[in-house]
Parts: sequence; C-alpha cells; structure tokens
Amino acid sequence: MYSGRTGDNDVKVLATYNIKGGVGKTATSVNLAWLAAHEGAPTLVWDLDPQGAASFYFRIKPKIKGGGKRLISGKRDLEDCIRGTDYEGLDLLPADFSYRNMDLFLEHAKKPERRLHQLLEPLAGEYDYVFLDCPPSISLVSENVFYAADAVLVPTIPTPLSLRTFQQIRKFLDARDLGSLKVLPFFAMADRRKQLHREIVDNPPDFMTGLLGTAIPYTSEVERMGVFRAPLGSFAGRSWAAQCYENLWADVKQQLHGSGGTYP
Amino acid sequence: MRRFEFIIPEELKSGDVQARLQQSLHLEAEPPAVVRRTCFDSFDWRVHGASAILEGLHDGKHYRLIWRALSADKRREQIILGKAPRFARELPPGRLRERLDAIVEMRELVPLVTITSRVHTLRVLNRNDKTVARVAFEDNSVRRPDSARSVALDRRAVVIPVRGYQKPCKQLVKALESMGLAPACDDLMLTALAKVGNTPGGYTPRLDLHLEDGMRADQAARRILLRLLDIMEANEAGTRAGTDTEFLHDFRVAVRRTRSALTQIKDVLPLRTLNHYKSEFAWLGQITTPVRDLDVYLLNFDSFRASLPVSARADIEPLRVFLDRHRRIEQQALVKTLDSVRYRRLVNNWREFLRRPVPNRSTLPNATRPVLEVACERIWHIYQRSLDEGRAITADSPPEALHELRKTCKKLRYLMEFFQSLFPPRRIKSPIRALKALQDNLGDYQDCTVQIATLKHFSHQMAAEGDAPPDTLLAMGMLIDELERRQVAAHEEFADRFGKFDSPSNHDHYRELFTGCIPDERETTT
Repeated sequence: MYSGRTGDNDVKVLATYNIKGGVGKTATSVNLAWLAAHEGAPTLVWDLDPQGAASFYFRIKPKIKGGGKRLISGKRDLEDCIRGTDYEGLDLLPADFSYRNMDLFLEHAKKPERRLHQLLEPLAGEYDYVFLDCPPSISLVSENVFYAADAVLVPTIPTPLSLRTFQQIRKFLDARDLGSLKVLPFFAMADRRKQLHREIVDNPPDFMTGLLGTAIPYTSEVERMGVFRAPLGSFAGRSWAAQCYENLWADVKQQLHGSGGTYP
Repeated sequence: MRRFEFIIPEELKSGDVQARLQQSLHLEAEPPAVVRRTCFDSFDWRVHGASAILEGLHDGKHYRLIWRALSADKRREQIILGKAPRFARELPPGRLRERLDAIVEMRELVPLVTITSRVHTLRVLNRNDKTVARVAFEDNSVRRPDSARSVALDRRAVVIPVRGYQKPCKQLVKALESMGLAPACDDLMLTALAKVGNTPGGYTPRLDLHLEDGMRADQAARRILLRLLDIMEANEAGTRAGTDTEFLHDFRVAVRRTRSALTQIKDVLPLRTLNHYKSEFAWLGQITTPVRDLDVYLLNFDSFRASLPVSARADIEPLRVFLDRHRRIEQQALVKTLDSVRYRRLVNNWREFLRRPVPNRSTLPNATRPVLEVACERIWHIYQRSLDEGRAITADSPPEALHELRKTCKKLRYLMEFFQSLFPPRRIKSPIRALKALQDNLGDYQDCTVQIATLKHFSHQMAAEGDAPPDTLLAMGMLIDELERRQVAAHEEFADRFGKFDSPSNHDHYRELFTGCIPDERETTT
C-alpha cells in the first residue's frame, strides 16, 4: 500500500511533471513557489532537472558539492546544499549536471522508489511548500517524485499530442497504488489565437479529471523570465500571465487545503 | 537563520555607514519602506510566557502575523492576513493557528505597542547580481496603540543572512563592528515594551504571594484577600467588555477563592465583617454565573458539535444562536450590576478594610497565631475531610456525594495555594499534583452532570421561546446521551483516581508537610 507524503501534515510537496519537455514545468514551479513565499510561506524548490533551468532563473549556480550521488546516498547533507534566493522565504536546492544519472544513484538506495521522500522528511518542519521541478521523463526519478508528492501538477499544452501524453501519464499513475496523490493537470502555453487551443481549453476531454480551472497563456512575459532571471511576479506582477499564475496558485491551494485562504 | 542586530551610535549617520559599506561591497539599494510592527499578547501574557513574540507587520503591501521564538532555535512562523486577528480561532488552519490555539487558546490578542520603522535595505550582490546578504537600516519609533505620541527608539542596522552564503554576512558584520556599532542585546520589541512601561508578565492570575512563617494569621489572610481583590479589579474592565471570556473566568475564580478564604481561614476576621462579606461575595458569585455558564457552552460548542453524527451537526446550530442571544442579554445585566452602587461599595469598602492595620490584640482565636500553624491545621483538617468523604463514595453514590467531595477538594486546593509560599516548593508540588488529578476527574463528572441538567433546561426554554425545531431537540438529546456516557466513564474512573489520592505515599506527604507544626496533633485517619 502506498503510504507516502512527508510525515508532517503541514508541509505540502508539489511536483511539476510531464514526460514532454518545454511545456512550462519550470516556469510553473518558479512562479508558484514565488507566490507561496510572497504570501509568507517558507518554500523550497528542488531543481531535479540536470538542465538546471530553475537554478538559472534564481541566478544560483547549478552545482552540488560532491555531486548528486553523495546527496542521494546521504553522504552530503541536503540542508547544507540549500541556497537562499533573492526572495525572503524562498530557497532553492540547486540542480547538478550529475542529476542526469539520478536513476543510477537512486537504484543503489535501500528503498529506491522512496529515497527522495526520505531525503525530504527532515525538511518537513522547516517549509510549508516544497516544489519538485522534475526532468521530462518516466523513470525511477518520476516514481520517487510520485511517492514523495502530495500533488502532481501536469502542465499540458492544448494540442492532441500533449493530451495523448497526459493520457499516458494518467495510465502510468493509475497502474500504481499512489494513495492520496492528487493529479492536477492544467493547460499551459495556451494560445487564444489558435482555434484548436481554444476548442480544447473550452471543451477539455473527459479523461482530464482534476483539471484546474486556470489556463496559463502563451505570452512573451513568461519567456522574459529568462532575460530577467526572475519569477514573473517580481518584474511583471500586473501582467496577464502573472495574474493567471496567481489564479492557478489559488486553484492549487483550493485542492490542497480545501479553501482559497492565504495560509501558506 | 540568525540575524545580527547592531545599535547605530547617535553620532553616526546611517548614510555614512552605508557609504562606507559601499566601498568594499557590491550593494544595491531597495526602495525605502515604512514598516509598522505591532506586538500582540493575551492579557495574561501567554505569548511572552512561551518565550516568543507575536507581531503584526504591515509593510504597505501585506499584513503579516509573525510568531518569533526568543529561544535559541529562533523558530519563525508567519501568515498573511487581511487585518489583525482578535482571536487565534480567526486564523486559517495551519502551523501558526495550531501554535496559538495551544498557547493563547480562547484569549483575545491585545495590541500592546507599535513600532514604526523607516527602513533602507541594501542588498549585497555577487558577480551574477544574485542577492547574497542584506543589511537593513532602521529608524525606529514606538507608541502605544491607543496613543498618537511616538517616542524615538534605537536606530538599528540589521544584517539578514541569505542561506548558503555565509561569507558576505560575516563581511557585513565585521564591517559594522569596525565602524563602532555595538551588537543589540535585546529584541527591539522588548525594548519598545519597556520604553512605554508595559512590563511583560505584568499580570498573572496566580496568587504569587510570599508569606513569612512567623507572620500573624490575620495579617496573612488580609494579604491573601487583598491580592485576590487586585486580581478581581484587574479583570473588571475586560469582564465589562465581554469579548474575552477569560476576564470573567479569572474574576469569578478570584471571587470563589475569596469566599473560600473567608470560610476556611477561620477565626481571623471579626464575625460581623466576615458574615457581611461572605454574603456580599456570594452575591457577586451568583450574578456572574449566568454569563459564565453560557460562555462554557459557547466555548465547548464546536467540540459538542463534533461529538454528534455528521448528519446531525447542522441541526444543533439553533442552540448556538439561542446561547449567543441569551449571552448578550445576560452580559448587559452583568454590566448593569457591575455599575451598581452595591458592587462599587463592596469593592471600595472591602479594600479599605483589608488595608487597615490589624489590631495589636484580638479576641479571635486564630488572629494572632503564626500563620504556618493555622495553615497546617486548616489544610490537615480539610484533607482528612476529603478522605472521609471520598472513602464513603461507592459505585451507587448519588451525584451529590461526588459534588460534595469536589467542593471539599477545591477548598483544600485553594488553601494549599494560599499558603504555598510557607512550604518548600518541591515538597508542596507533589500533594498538589495528586489532588489535581482527582479534581480533574471530579470536575469532568460534575461538568457532565451540570451540562445535562442545563441542556434539558435550555431545551424547555427554547421550546417556550418558539426556537426549538424538532431536529434541534433531537440533536440536543444526542448530546445529552453523549454527556451521560462521559459521566458514567468519569464515575467509573473515580475509584482509581481516588485510590491514588488515598495512597499511603500521598498520605505520608500530607502528614510530613502539614502536621509537623500543629500543636497537639492527634492523627485520626490511619
């Protein structure tokens, strides 16, 4: 029986996940984590992607002293690797290029599919939210993420191929006993100029159960995060896209806490 | 993470400090900000008692409620709110709510002092323009929340580390020290409280008396009674306001203790005076009962509701409306009584009497005896009575028998608390602890008995007022069933609790402490 989640009831672990790349996983992690911290909730982002995009956005070197292997094996203390970002209450566990071999590191652990969960446990009292920014794949890393997370946020571009990918993810998750894990898909990079996008967003297919009400638009502001190397809210807080992330965050909190309250 | 606070000497300008820092560090200024921080605590200083500070911080954008531990771990919890909360129960669920619920419970959060800070923050940047430390220069002033007059406080420089970047933080600390800035010893909020003369821990409902062994019993009794009067008066304004239920609770406890002291510290006050005040304080206890009874129901309402089956929970709500309405009516009546000449006269005359010096000689048998002797005699006597009453209780005893024992135990507890300072602190704790465990059981039993009777009374009253939908009466019936179950459980537990209280070891504790100084002690209960 699946019995994951961190022991502390208060911390919520959220994973942004998709098999596909370039769908807005990192932008989602970074922007939602910024919103959480901005509301006063101590928040951590773990950049699990060896490409280190989240670390880039926060101007933090994607480097773990001793590499990912020592971190996963427990030889290097996870807490020592955490770096504060430019924003109060928002910390980052940076990426490392060696994460490309994360599956191998995890395989050597005692309970390979629970290792990330174990590593996160000591942080439960320190943070209200932990965001896991996942690499695009289905692997042992993903299984670990599903075991550790309270909710998986699945950004999905409103196109037939992306919907098909979501179906694959759903099938993969349904085949496992993942207990109370919430699967929360939402539309990302939605382009209202495209009729197909509009049709799918307005009439989402039935298999997208748990679909969040907010769609994140395809806008240049989100891309400019790479120029400013900062979360959207910090440099374009009044933009439409930033507003959409705020709405998305309210949707996520509603799912997690059953209310739209501002409690971190 | 630990922040480092420094006091900026008067002769040094903040601008000069900033300019000198700029010479060795890559700094970027954040827009200046005005931050207002208000310290909250309950009237009885529960947050302070938990070695923490609760502050509402308004930075122009958000209102944050922050819990800061003053202990070594410097634990910090915060939450964004629309406005300052008045009670912990108004907070959304989460860690901070849980913490405050456990510590402040039902007490109102009172604003004590407000610090206004003009803050200039400089960020220390690394080569990637990443923030690696911060230093905030604060110009601080303080005022009471009910006053517009501000008083200047220390100017401070606060070094705020960024996790994982220790070096720049150390550099900042070193640079500030080299400019002659001294580390601040006290938390700014504590300094602010002291500045406006608001002493943390200034009120406690505990007696906290220090009596000397050789003191005359009548003098000691007056000192005890005067302290109880102080507690009553400290809670009077809050009792009138009626928003925080515990003012009335503490007020009533002081009244009850006063009545107990009047009857239990025997033969120390002139009979006429004694009889007059016994009846006056009985009246005071009586007129404060209706509001407190309703408070108890309202405070327990959510747990009552939760004890019902889910389908019946909404049905009980009309009872809450009924209780609320009646509480408002009874509160008005209470305020009217507190405004009465009779009440004012009682308080004033009582204080005047207690302040009067004791006569050199007295015909009252206990008045001039050493207080320790009288205390031991009274405690030992009531202890023996409690044993007699407890031993007579069987499974078939009526509720009245347990109630009588409960009253005797209360008298015993009060007596031990009145005279606590006469005994070695470690040795008096054990008898009090044993008694407390028994009192908790008797209290549970009595609460259930009273609540069952009152619920029945309420149901008739609601029916008479046309406020009793059948489903509500059914739900109240279920509550009564639940209370009866608890009552039976408490009765069943009694034998075990009393057995511990009546144990030879506890008996030894009492005998050793309370018979040594009684002349001609003849032990009757062995």
